[in-house]
Amino acid sequence: MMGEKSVRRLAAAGAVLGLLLMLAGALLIKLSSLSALPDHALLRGVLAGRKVILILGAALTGASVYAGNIAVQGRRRLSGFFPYLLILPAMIFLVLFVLYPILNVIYMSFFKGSVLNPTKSFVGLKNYMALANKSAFIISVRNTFFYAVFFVSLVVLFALLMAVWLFDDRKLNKFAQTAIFTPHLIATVSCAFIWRWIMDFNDYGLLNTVLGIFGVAPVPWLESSKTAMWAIIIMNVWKNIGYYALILIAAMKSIPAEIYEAAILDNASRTKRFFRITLPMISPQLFVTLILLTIGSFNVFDSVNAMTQGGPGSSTEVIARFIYLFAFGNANSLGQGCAAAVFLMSIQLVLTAAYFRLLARRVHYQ
Amino acid sequence: MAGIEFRNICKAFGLVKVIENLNLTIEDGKFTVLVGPSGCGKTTLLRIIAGIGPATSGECLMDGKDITDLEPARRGIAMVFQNYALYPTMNVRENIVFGLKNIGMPREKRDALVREYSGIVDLLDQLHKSPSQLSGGQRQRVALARAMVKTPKVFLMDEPLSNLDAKLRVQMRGELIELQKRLGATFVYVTHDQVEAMSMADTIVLMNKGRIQQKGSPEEIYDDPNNVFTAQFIGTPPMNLLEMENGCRLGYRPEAIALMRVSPGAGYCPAGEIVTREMLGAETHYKVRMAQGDVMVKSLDKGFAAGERVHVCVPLERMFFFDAQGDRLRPGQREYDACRRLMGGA
Repeated sequence: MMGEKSVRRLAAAGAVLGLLLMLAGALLIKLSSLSALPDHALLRGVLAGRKVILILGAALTGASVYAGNIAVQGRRRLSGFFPYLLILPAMIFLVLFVLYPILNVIYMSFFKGSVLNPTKSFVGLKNYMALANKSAFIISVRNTFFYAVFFVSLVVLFALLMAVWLFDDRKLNKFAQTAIFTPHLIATVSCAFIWRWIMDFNDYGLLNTVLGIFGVAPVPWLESSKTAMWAIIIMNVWKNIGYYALILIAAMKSIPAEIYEAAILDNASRTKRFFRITLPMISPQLFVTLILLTIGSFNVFDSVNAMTQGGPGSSTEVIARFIYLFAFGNANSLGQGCAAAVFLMSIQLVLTAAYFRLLARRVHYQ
Repeated sequence: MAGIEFRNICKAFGLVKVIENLNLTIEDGKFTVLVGPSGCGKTTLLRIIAGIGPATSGECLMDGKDITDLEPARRGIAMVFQNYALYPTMNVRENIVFGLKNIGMPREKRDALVREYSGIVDLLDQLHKSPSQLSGGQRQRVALARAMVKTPKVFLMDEPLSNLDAKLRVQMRGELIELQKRLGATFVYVTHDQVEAMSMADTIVLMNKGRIQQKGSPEEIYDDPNNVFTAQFIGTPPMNLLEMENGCRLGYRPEAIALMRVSPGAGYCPAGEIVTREMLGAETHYKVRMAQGDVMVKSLDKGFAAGERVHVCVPLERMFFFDAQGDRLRPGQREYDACRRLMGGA
């Protein structure tokens, strides 16, 4: 039998070797795209096997970490650099796909350039200054805030109402829960098209037809700058209620029935029971819901792009669309798009921090 | 103060009938314990009184007034739940005061009551804490204070001691008895623990499968059981039961037995062998294997050893007879005389 220590050493060595192989494979893949390479038989051979090297490296890393993990199971504490090695794969992905892109966007926001050549010339803070003077950007920020405020509050409000309404275990409620959850499963773009049809102004609009029955004149939902943003808000609220209602229902089901019974015996009315018991006891889930919704609402893009493309005029232009247009649409404005992205991220950071600062105290954890 | 009366109470959960046609009177100002194995309907009965689990049919009266359809909060009752059901998001003071606030009691009066009752349960210095910071015993006392502060006519308690450790349970048992005497209110207490029932009750209501098996003082229930179920449920170890030749059953309590090494020659004294011996300090429990079956013996004499041959002697006046259905046979009944003759009586 091999000692545990030697197994760990072996596993560590295997993992490091695997990581080196992965790195080499990635480098080779990058190299192969360059044309000016010396023609050499060995290099050609190594280049041909570049994907195999990458996959082998990944497999070796995985196997080593797995074997090492098994070898140390049952031990209370890991020591030395081995525990860091165990979380290394996850950290690599985090750095590669989260940290690096964020830093890269901040870096690019100081340059003038295009997608093909992002860092053509350094301009310092000029991109940010340009944003401040751009009416298109200011309008998109204003629209995004308008959207976020109403989207978040309406989803929270209706999800809560739905959760209260659908709380009891009845067959009808089970069906209704499934029904209001379904939109969450449909792609936003598909939902957008469904709602474009529902809100159609001309001939086939379901909404206007129904309103017509009650004698309401047809409303140009998507064609008027007064209602277009509301149309997008309504669509997104409709799409999200079910999901968040489900989270809140689950939270409410975890409240013991005796607490409500005690409250009934304590003469607490329905409203009082809701505000003094239900609401405080689902506050952790409500808090998470609020943060997720707020961050998500500032990223709104696909529904706008599919329903109005920012129009009519610029009445539904949002920050994410501004980023998209300036980063990939216009020539040499990638830096401005990046600056807008940095701005958007800062808003989300500040808001999340504010939530924690102002609300976390009132959240009750069991 | 209030007595409670059940008239033809039925309760079904879906198709399962838990209680059928139950009639019961709970006396005013007494400590009544509903006891029985789990699923016997005792908690269901308590919830009917509270109004949080109304009966399917029948009437519930308090002080002679029909409260069957009265709102729970207007019944003048307070309930202590098995897991206390404290409001986790409120601190101790808010927990106690919640019911008073809801009836719009002015602040000064509320504060005075909170001080008084949290003093009684010794929680004055814990008022600002949240329930999660308290120990099991303290939570229990918060639940008690929350009930007392409403000065109810009836206290309902659903196994309030079952979550406490053994030592604290014994201590709280005494405190509850004292509390009832001091308040003079009607206590309805649910438990599955016969020791709790015997030690606390003025009146025991023993239930099984939705039926009342027997109602009476602890002495009556113990000394004069109506049926085999009561005889075996109350008492540790339970009453010994042996089949008789005529199909009836003979019963006697473990402490009614005198163990003898030599048969006295007359009376009921079958021979057997001691199988196990449990020394509990003041008393010793022996299990004796006889031809008729095993019996438990509770004796002050710890001098017998396992494996020893003994005689199990029981005087005639400490024997109980039950018919084949498990009902008690009493003097005057023909079967009773037959059984008595079989045991050597005149």
